[in-house]
Amino acid sequence: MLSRCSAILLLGLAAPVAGCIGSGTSGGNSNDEIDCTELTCDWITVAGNPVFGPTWHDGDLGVDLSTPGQTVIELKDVFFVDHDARQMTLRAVITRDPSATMSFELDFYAAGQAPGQTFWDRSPVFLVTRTLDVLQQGTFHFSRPVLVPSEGAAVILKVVKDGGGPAMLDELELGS
Amino acid sequence: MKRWFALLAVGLGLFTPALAAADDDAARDSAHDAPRPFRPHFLGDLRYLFLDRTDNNYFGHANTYSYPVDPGASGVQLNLGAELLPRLALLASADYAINGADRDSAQLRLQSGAVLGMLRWSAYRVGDDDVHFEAALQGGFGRYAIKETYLDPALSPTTFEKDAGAWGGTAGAQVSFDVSGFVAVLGYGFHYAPATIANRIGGTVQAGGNEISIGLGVWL
Repeated sequence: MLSRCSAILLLGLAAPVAGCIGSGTSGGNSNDEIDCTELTCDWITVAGNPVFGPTWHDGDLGVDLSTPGQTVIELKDVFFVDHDARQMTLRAVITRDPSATMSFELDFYAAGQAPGQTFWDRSPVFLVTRTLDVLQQGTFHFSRPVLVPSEGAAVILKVVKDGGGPAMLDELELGS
Repeated sequence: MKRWFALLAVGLGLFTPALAAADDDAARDSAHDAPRPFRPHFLGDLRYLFLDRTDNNYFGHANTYSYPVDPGASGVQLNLGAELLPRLALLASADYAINGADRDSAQLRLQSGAVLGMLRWSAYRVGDDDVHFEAALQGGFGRYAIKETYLDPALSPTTFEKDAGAWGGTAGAQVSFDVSGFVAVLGYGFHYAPATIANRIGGTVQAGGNEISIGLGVWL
């Protein structure tokens, strides 16, 4: 009898232990034009020495822009899910020291008429650059609406970091 | 004269048993009123443990990166010992607590443990050995450990592990209610345990913190 009670007590004590694991998602969804939430995207290094590797944790991968000086990375994307969207949202998780400046530049393009196999081979027409300065400091969620120009069919997303302090970028999405 | 002696002898003969009975009652009463001689007691309990770890932005960073986890961890605590002097008990205590968070396929886990030697003083006790309520103060010293593991099997088979250990101390209080040797207990304690895990952006979490425990045990 006592051993049965002990077993029940142990089960009762163990149950709450098993129930303390939170569950979250990286936030990416199928409507995102750019989704770098789980996999590190195919960034192109324009300037500096970014590190595509650990961010806040050794196992959580992103982009470490902390090397001193200017760092510029870019990502090209042709809109393919929702061509009618005129307003999108740029989201990211950012760690930024006050000594580092960071901004996003979104260059929008319309489709070109030149012969070529891909969108970028057909001489797309530059439309406008939207610049979003990152003003927050510390570790935070960044979220800003972005107006897509009429005829906008593709975007080159640039991340520009300057200064010497730590700066990291992870969980980047551009979507509706 | 002989008659007087005879009367006295008869009188003593009649009253002596009654006086003897009265003496027995008085002896029983005084035995009941007097505290029983002390004997050592075995103590043991098993508790549900809620540990609110000492945090310096570690959990804020984890939440920002979409791992929904907070400093509060659940676990178990086992205490075994003996009351060797009146109201003074010496115990060994072992704690284990775990919490964590999943983000998609990534799994972040934090485990804390401690093995402590404890001294407990029953500052207030009312009742007898069979049924009593008590409030106690306790303190202890021992070894603390904390371990962090991170695994994202979708991206890598590597399990990232960090651990730390340190000597530390605890102080706290508890109330308990004993019926026929079975005890229900509610306790609070603060653990100073500098065993620390740090993330890559300056957040830290320690093995210690504030603890609330509730459980059942024995006092034999």
